[in-house]
Amino acid sequence: MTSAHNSEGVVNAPVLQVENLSVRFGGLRAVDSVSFSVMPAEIVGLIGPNGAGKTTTFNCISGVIVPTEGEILIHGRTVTPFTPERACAMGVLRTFQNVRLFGELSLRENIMMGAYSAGTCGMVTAMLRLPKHRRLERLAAERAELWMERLGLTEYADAVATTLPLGLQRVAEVARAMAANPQIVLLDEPGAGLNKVEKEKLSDMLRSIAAETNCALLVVDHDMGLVMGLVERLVVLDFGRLIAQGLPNDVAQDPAVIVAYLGTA
Amino acid sequence: MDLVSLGQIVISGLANGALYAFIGLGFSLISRSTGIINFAQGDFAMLGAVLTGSLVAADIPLILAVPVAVLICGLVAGGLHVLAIQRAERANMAQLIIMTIGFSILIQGAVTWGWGSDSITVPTFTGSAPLNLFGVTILPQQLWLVGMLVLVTVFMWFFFHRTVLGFALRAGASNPLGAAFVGINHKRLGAYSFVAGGLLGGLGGAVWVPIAFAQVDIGIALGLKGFTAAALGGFGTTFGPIAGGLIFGLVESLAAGLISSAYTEAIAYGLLLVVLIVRPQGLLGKVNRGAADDHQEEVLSAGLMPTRLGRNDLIRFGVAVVVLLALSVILTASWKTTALFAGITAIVVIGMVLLTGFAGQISLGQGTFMMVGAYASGYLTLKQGWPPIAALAFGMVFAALLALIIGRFIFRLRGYYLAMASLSLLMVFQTLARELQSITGGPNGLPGIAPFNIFGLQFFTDDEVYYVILFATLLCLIAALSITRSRVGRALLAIRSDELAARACGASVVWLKIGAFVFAAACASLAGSLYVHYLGIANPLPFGFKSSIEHIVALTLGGFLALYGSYFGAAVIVALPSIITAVFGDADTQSGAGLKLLLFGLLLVVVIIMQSNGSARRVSDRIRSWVSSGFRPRPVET
Repeated sequence: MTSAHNSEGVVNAPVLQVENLSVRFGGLRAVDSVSFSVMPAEIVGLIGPNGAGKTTTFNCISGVIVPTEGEILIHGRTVTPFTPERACAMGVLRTFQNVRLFGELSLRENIMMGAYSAGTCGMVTAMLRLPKHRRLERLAAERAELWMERLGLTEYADAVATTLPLGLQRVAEVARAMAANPQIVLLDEPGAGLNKVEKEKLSDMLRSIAAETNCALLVVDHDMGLVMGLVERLVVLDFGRLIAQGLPNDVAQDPAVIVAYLGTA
Repeated sequence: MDLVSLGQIVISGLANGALYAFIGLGFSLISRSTGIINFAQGDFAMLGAVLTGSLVAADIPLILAVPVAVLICGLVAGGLHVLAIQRAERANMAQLIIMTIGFSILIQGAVTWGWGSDSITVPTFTGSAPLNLFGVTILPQQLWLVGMLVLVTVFMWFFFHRTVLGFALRAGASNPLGAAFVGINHKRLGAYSFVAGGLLGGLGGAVWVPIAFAQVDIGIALGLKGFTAAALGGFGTTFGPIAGGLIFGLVESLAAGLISSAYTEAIAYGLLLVVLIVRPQGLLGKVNRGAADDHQEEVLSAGLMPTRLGRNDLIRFGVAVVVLLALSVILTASWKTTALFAGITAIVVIGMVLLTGFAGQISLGQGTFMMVGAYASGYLTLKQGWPPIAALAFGMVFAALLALIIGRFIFRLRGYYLAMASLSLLMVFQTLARELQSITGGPNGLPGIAPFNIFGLQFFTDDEVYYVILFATLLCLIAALSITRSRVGRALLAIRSDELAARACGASVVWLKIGAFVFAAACASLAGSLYVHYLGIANPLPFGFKSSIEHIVALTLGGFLALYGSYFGAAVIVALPSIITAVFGDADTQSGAGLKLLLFGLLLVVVIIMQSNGSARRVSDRIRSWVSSGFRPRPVET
């Protein structure tokens, strides 16, 4: 297990630990005993060639796929059962490669949905407008305002979320995830479909979010330009196995990684 | 019990099972290639039987009558797909399924209207001298049924595994888009599968009718049994329905022979309920484990739905109150009775807006919960001397708990299992209401229920009852508004738009659906209680499958997400019989009933087509702008 130092040089406990994770689909080992960890406020890139098992790993952590073996721990606590709801309740939020905002809700309400996990309140509580419901609604509204303000979405608050340009929708997904006050956000190809300027803006935005909120980010992306400029550490998978991890520049010169990406001569 | 009688039971069970297998095969075929649960499947069998009967009555030889009848069934089925389903291009699955309920009513209404309700007589194909096998008598026609089933099975296997069209059908079923890329037209495949469903149903009906006491209203029961066959065997399998049908036929026959014929239906549908709860994928079906469902259904967006109470809600609610109060002054006595029943129906439909509109689940058995309320009020006030309000509350709690338990099992898997589960629950409860005479009074019901009273206030006359129902309707409306304009309503809409993304935000899909179902059940129970206090008698009749159809039609007319529309839809449904009588006269009640069904079916189909291609929106926008412009005629567009 790795342990990193934060800027003050104090040893921290990792927010996410992936331990001996394996996923088999029939005879295929999509992920084969992969272990790595992510520290609070750290931005980690999960990369690898096609079919390396990035998406499968990502889906396990976000509760979409149940792993065959291994554990996922958030702040030392095991995530079970593997459902998206449970992952969310433990502070793991995610964005989607093909942006998935709610088409029947306004942008503000989309981001309020992000704060849904801030507390539980049943249908009766909601129906009777009990104080708990009031409190949760106020909290959701405040967080939505905060994150729209912070990420420059306020002017689109009442628009139908799915009619916004793709760049804004990606930002809105980040805002929706952040409204949950997450421990870690998994970003699935955040740069896909964006142009160079938009990608740079997104990188800056993500860096400042991680620094200011202490929330860790795990980025899966093919776009090496975006990943190298954004992340502090890389985890490289190939054929379901972890082949390298470390600082971006070191990893880029790792012979195993070069072989994985370019193939042997 | 001796072996001969047991053998007799098995033979008749297998013969009936063969018919269920025919219908079930159609179910799974259509569901596999289009995803639609076709509720008209049983009516194809009924149509096949009726057509054979009338062709034979017109002196056409049997050998010609059967193929012609079967062919017509196939054409009707294909026609419905081309003329209705293909027109509703952007309809979601729930709408399409409700549309097939429309087909079912349409066929039933047309047949009742045209043929009346006499039972159908057709001579057996090859004489009626029974064969004797070790003392067990077998009718030749039973052999025909089983033999035809074997023939069809062989043919289908050959078709699916050895012909290009069969491969195309299977490819289109597993991946429509992929199939489209290699030139397989999904629309045409859907039409073919409907034709096949019609042929299968029609053939089953035509071969079965000589040994059956068949009437035109048999379609619903046949459909349910065919569905049970498909559900038992597994919808995803080609031949599961055959096994399912035979098993179901055997169980039904054994239940009648060994236990009691009074409980046959309850046992048979109880079995369906158990299968849906324990093994929803069917006995032979496989469930796709692995990734959490990543399926995104295209939702016809209703535009932005408010999820917080706003000034608009206050204004609209105020208008509703004023209109309903004004009605109490304006309406004449007979129309007031109509308004009263409309209010009761509206209460049920308000619950269904949450269940079907917001949570996307179809219930065909809200009558079950109405019955719970009706008998709770009837039994507890009459036999136990409870005050009406306590009995009413008890009924609501009981209904809510029942929904909670059913929902907990049914909503584990995605899909439209609730439609059938609720329908079989209704059948079980209908039987219980008829048979548990010490509590329910049997078919005669519990007469002599006192009018509703609370705190010493009596509500005797229609005028007085109107206010009670008005109050209850408005209360349900407030509750539903309060739920939909809350974080719960927002979460339900989020699930409607994108289930996985909603779950990733922490929304518990299962519990939210259960919540909507529980609310709908409590509403229905309340309506049932009010109904029996008004009529003074609780009996099973008004809460049967026909009431479920009326609820679905009212919901569709009002709009799936429209709470205020509930009252409108309910009013149309309740007033329609009076309107039909006014227009067509009351001379022949049988054809009048047929006409009513026919109109209901047409309404369902047409309204869903209009909703799904946007023309309903345009019409309502036009009316709205017409109203807001002070009823001035619309200027001609330039």
